[in-house]
Amino acid sequence: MLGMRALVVNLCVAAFGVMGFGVMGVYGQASHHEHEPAPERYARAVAAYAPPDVALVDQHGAAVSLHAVLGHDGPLMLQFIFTTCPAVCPVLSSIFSAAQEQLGPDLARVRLVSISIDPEHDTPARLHAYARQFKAGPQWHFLTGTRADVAAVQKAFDAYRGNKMRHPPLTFLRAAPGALWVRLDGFMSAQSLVAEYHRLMDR
Amino acid sequence: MTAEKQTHARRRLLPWIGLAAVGIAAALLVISATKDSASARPAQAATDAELGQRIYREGILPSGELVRATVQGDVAVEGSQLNCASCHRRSGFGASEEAAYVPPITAPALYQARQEQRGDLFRQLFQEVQPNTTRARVRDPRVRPAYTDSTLAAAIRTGTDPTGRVLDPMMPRYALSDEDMGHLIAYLKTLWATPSPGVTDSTLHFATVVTEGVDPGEREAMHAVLDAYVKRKNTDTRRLMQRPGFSPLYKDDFTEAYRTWVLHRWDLNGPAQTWPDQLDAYYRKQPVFALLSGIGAGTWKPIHDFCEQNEVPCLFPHTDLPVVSPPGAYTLYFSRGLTLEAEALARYLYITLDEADPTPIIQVYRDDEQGRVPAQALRQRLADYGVTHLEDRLLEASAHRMPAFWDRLRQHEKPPILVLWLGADDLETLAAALTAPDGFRHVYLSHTLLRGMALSKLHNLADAVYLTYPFALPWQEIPRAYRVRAWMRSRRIERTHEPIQFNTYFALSATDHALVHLVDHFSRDYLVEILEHETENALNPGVFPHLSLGPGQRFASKGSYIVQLSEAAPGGLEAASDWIIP
Repeated sequence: MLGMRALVVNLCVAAFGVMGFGVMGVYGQASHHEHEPAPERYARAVAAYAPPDVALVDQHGAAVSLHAVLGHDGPLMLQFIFTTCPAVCPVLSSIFSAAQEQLGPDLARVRLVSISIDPEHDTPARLHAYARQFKAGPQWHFLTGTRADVAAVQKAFDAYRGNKMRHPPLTFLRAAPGALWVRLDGFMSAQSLVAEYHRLMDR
Repeated sequence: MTAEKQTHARRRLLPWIGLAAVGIAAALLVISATKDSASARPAQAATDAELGQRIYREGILPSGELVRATVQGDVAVEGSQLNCASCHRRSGFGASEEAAYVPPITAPALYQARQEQRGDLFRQLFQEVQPNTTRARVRDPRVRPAYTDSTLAAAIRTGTDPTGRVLDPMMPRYALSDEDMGHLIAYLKTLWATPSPGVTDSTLHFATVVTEGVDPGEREAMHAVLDAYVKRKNTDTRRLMQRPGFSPLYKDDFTEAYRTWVLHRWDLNGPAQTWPDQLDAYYRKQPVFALLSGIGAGTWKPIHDFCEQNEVPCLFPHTDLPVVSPPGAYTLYFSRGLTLEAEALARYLYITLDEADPTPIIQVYRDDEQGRVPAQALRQRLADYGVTHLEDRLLEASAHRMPAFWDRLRQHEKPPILVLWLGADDLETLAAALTAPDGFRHVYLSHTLLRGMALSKLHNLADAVYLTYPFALPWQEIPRAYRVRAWMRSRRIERTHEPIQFNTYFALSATDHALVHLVDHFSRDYLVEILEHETENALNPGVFPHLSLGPGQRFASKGSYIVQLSEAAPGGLEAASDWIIP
């Protein structure tokens, strides 16, 4: 079970070596290139996950099975969010929102999924409003459910932290149903996310 | 914003009006271009903290357009998605999550050179979750000169601080005109610029509100917990203050943070219309930092409104009638009370009823708030589901005429469903009047309105009775309940009203815990924000199955069960539904 869940094949830190070291790098460079965007720091790993087939509800109030949503016959990106989240989720969702535009023609085959980790507060109606706020297209699904089911899904992705206020900024990508997942831990530019997507698809 | 704060903001603006000259010049250019000379405003009005507040909190420019910015290098965001308050919060104190450390941007934080404070450092190192990068940064103290208006504007626009460091890419780079930037900076200068009322160098003042009509037993049960907790808290504080800071051999990082708690009793007497004046009088006599716990027999609205007007946090009062909408900024409730129960019942009826063959539903209530509020919520929510065959009956009959009232209700072709938003007195009469549930398919009651009435009194109706039950089921023991019971035993507090006493303990311990995070930054907004973050952290003593808040969330428990009477089940109740979140 443990092997299934966290089969970490490859772990590297994109953009800037070791995390703590990155800070010095950032500030060291800063004074010379004032208007250059600050470098991003996110970690990349590849892993197998076995999410449970729980019954969830989407932003339109329709009952859906998680396996049916994740079984999308094409590339898929997944994030955990909640609608009242202060700093982390607006940025995560903005990255998805911007990636919608940057994916270009590929958008037609990509499915985006955002699962609420505050399901008791995030009713379908609230998720629907949130989806509009981030200009979500029809390929972007927002899911909620019971506390227990959503916790089980988070645990399956090694993303459960107990208190929702401590959730890590994770983005998961997979090329096709049953394929290994790429796990991105941190914030990235939309361009980097799209580059990760192409890297995955070209393999 | 209070008048006091506004005056203060304006006063602080005067010295730097010269600096705003560029902004004014730009404004004048715009004005001359619009040909509308009537709109030219005097120079003093060039920056307006009120307009800045809207930019900060809602991401909306004075023109009505959304603020635009870029995060993470290339991600375009607008004010509705991300604004200053999303991350730095209403208080300006920022937040610490595992993924992101958002530094404070209050007026003192920005306009003073950054110095490390040991109390803050302790918190950052040992009490908060931090991303690894922040952990490294906390250990590597960085100094920064005080911002000036121009270096602050540069940081907001380009993400470069006065030392030349580039801010995290998560900090949006805002595209703001000089004029709008002026408004925003004017507002930033008001953030925590004046100390919160109710706090002195040695004392934190709190008050507990009890309204007219509250059962004396409930009131005393609550006060027993409050008094014991505060006494213990102050004993601990005194002990801490005697040791450290005054000895060369012992260093304490929190000498600045210790305060003695003083709890005032604010009893409200007479009709609810007179409560606002009573509250104002209490507040004038002794301003308090926050209201703790409290009990209301009827509406909580006057107290809610007082807290909004004076920006006083009101932390977890016991009330069935909270202000459900619009949500306030300062009152945190356990649940939405009777509105929640009615909406959960509507959902349950909608799911269980046969749409093809609708059973008539009759709701009976008295013309008071405990009756009108749930009746209105049930009607509204059923209508949302498309269920309209609901009849209302106002109960005006005196007790001896009740049997006739019930008999009339039974004159239906099909046995109706009864929903009774009635209290214990009426229900006891009803139970005596009805020898058997014949004539009614189901009878739905609110467990909250029973007010501790013995369930055995409903014995005649047992099979037909269902109750809305927005609490943890009797056998759902939550480990913390044992700790709270042990604490009460050790303080020699009789457990007479366990739910009220447990919830009071929750209000106290959650506030206590949050105040530790504040260190000596006694900001009321910050207190509310920490509670939003920390309510979920295992403080729940078990009256509700789960307590959780988040930014802007005001009701910690979100659902309700529907239960049936059962002699065999522990506590005499059996769940008839899942936890329903309407």
